Amino acid sequence: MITTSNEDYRRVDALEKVTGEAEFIDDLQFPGMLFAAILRSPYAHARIKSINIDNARKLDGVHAVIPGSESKEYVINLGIGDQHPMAVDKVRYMGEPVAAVIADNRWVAVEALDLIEITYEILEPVLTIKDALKDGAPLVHEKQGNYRRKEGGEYKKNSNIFHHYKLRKGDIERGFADADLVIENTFVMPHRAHCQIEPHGAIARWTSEGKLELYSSTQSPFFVRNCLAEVFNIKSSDITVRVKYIGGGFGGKSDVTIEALVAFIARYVPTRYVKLTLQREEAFTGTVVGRGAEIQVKTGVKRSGEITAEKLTFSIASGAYGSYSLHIVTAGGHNGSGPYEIKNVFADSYGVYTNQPPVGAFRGYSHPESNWAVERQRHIIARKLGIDPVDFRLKNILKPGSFNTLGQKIEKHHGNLEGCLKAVAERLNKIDKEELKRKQPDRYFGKGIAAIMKSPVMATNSASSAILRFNQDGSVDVACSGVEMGQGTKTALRQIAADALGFPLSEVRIKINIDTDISPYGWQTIGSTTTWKAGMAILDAARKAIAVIKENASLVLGAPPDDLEYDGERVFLRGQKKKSLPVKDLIFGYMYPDGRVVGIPVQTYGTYIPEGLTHPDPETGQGNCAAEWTFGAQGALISIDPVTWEVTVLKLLTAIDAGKVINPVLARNQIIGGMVQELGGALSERIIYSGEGTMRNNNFTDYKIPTPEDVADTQMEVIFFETPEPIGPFGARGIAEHGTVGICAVIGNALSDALGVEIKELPLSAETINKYMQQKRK
Amino acid sequence: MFRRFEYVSPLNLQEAIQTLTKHEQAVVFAGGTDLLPGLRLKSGSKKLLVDIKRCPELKGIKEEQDHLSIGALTTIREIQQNQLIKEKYRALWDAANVFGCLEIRNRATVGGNIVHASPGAESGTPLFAFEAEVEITGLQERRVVPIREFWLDAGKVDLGSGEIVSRILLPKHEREVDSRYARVSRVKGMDLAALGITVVVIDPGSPDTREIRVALSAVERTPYRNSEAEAILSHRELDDSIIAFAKERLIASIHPRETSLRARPEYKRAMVGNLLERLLKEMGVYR
Repeated sequence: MITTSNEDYRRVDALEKVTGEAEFIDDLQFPGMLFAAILRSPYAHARIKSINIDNARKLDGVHAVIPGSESKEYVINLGIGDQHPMAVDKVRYMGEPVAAVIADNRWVAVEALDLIEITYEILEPVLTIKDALKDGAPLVHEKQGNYRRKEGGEYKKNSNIFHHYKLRKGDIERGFADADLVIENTFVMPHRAHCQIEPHGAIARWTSEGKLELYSSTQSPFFVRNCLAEVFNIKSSDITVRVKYIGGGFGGKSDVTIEALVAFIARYVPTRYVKLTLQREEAFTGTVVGRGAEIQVKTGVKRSGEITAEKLTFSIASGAYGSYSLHIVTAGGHNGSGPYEIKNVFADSYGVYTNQPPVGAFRGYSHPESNWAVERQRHIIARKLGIDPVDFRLKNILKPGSFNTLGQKIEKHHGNLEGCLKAVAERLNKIDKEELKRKQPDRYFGKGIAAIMKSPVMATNSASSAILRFNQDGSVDVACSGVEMGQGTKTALRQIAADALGFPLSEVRIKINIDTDISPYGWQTIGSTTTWKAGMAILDAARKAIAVIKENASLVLGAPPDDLEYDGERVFLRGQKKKSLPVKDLIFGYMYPDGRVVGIPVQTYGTYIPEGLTHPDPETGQGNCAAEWTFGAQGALISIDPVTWEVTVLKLLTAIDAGKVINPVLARNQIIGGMVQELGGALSERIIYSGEGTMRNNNFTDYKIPTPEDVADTQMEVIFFETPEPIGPFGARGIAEHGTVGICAVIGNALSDALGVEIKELPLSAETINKYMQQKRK
Repeated sequence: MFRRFEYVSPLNLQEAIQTLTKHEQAVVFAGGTDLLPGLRLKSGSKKLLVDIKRCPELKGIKEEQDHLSIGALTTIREIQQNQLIKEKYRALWDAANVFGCLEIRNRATVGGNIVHASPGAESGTPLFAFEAEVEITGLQERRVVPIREFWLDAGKVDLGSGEIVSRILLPKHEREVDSRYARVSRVKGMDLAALGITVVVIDPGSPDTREIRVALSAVERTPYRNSEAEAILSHRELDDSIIAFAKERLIASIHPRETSLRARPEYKRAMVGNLLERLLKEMGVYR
């Protein structure tokens, strides 16, 4: 809600989506297009002894059969050059591509896969962090030293540790010495799947000039272009990446997933389009998974409730390739202690190779992981000290003037964390558990609370940009960075453009599709940064457009631009509204009745890049690594069936300092969507591996995300605070991932409140609760 | 993605049976909710789908002299909407209510739910506890087998080539009957039962003549009943020690799979006891 004139919050994509007109990658058809199918490893860890493609090649309709070994020269390097487009000599996870078929249609491609013969020598897989770190553990990568690394961070030779980040603030030993009580716990969060409604897809074609045309369901078209340019050793401008609508991303379509694979195999059929759309099972095994963290927290605290020290070990079972979780590992270290001012912090975070699909970005990007540990820990400590959990948090939270773990000074404009915590606490305090118990005496009831914070984890040069192009009818077209994947950002950005120009929404169109040949540059659509950063670029472009319009008018009105005013409809001389010109008449220069034109057409480009970001210091891990912070608090009220131990969530709430709410409908939905998505992680979701490392539930039969029935009894409440962020458009800051951050912790804390058990593993399923209750009764 | 397959849609049962007899690759296609996912596998290649949905003989719920006849093509949604089933065969109605999701209930059929002999099939325990019979129609003959004998093993039923399950017959109650179905699942919406339990109480009001049947799903290779536990519960007033004894016997007799993705054996065992007690309380035969 940025102006009173724009109260139409409808999504720009609503009608197209409900009618089915919206185009997604699998809708695209091209003349002569061929179809790919991928043969994937059934083993988690095995050496490829031989591949025989002769019979597959002979099948009618098959154009090419490509063994993975042929991708040896091509290296995907998003930080660590540890991966090829397909498995070369050994497979490192179940689902890794070992061969591909390109055929006239999907049926033939799939049938040809059956005819490829592969022999494997099965190797012992590494499936847990503990096993991966054992002395003499099998190595997922034997020769880490040979990989090219783009950034700092340490790896450990002859081990499965590929990345180590450390944070050192204050004197940890002194901090523990000052404590009256030291509490240590280990919390785990299993691998999860993103479960986008649309599985990943890509279509690639190499032109006869050796240029690459790629359609993809990626969140990061320019990033993909840059990555593929390196893989194939061509100029990034020789690659065109086009993105239509995406059916959900959640981080699982950021970075690079299947693009290098599809582009690599398309080389075998030059000039032909090759399409690959993943099956649901492949979206689980053949892209990236999320989470997979183990977090040890040791906290020193005084009787008064002051936290004196915190030591964290944050490890990710990163799967077979490291680049995708490199920054998750780093962020888990530097944000790990949550929104608290703790004088002495000592954190180590580790990226650990395992024989599982690579871990990549997943809504929240290390924050839900560390929040699960730290906010459970806060709850456990408060109970031990006999202090109210809210008072305990309030005593230690970041406030204006305090310094966070990175050494950044917190200012008032960073947001009202205290207000958010109190708002959630106040609502939870109003709920009378005894009253609920009187109505349903056979059930248990519990309340939980957590403080949350999140910063975008991003490259220091992550730029955004926008183009405003005015039309003859006086309307404006906006093109800007950012992919529309369901989050609604293009709707909010259109509002920002309308507001900045003083135009009614009806006169503003926003371009959905991205084409890297002509679209304004945007780093990646990740980190809850698009409305903020692309919004700033639009404001920049709008300022420039208004300047040109005034410049044009000044030539006609005979007054300097500084003396002119602009209100979206007209440009007029300050104080003399009668001496004015319609904006519509100024946007291609101004034409006099005799045909003479003065001034220039209005078409402007705006950019934004966060200022002053740095890499962390290699010794202390500190630095200006976060451009902005969003703070908030979450809470839950649950009831528990004492017969089955099933949890019913009666209330979920989030209070968040959004800076400025651009679109109240979408902002609320975005937060609720985050809460419900993470509720799956809290109650039912986890990837299950067999002892051999195969994924056993790569389907919706056995990977259980929340259904409408799971939230049918849940009252959702979202409370917005608006402390303007000076570097955000109209004061807005990122909110897209934040709904997820504290949900596992609030449910865990509510269970502790209801049943007196401290569960430190996920999901908090009925089965898990039963196990803890049986132990408690013993 | 589906493998390539052939499709025919016969207009009556005889034609369907003839097609099934003639073609080795022929499979019956009713609701398709179990069949279609399998067509995506290599083993699903080149099947001939015999769509029986146009065979009128397989449709409808009818009250007959000594049983309620349920056509094999009856959808779960039709079960859910049937007033007589709700009143007289409550456990079956309960099961229909939690079966899949609305879209699945609209497609899935009762016949389809039993022919795959899934240990966890939602309708399995109610049909078992009501002692339903299965009518099977073949090229030459029609035969009726008790459902207990119809399930041979997980995924295996007593059905010859060219035979189709045509009806399911629920015996009419001679005495008053109450029943309930309950299950545990990982999410509250669409899910397979991690464990299902049906309790049927005949003559609920008079402990002396009362008969109690208990059927469990997803604990053995086929839907399961235990005669000892039923004997302990039947023909007497129920008190805490009787319930504890019956639970103990029942739980000790089952062998839930260690490798189930839906629940660990310990949880299933605990829930067998807890849900049995809950359902008996719900029906007012134990306090």
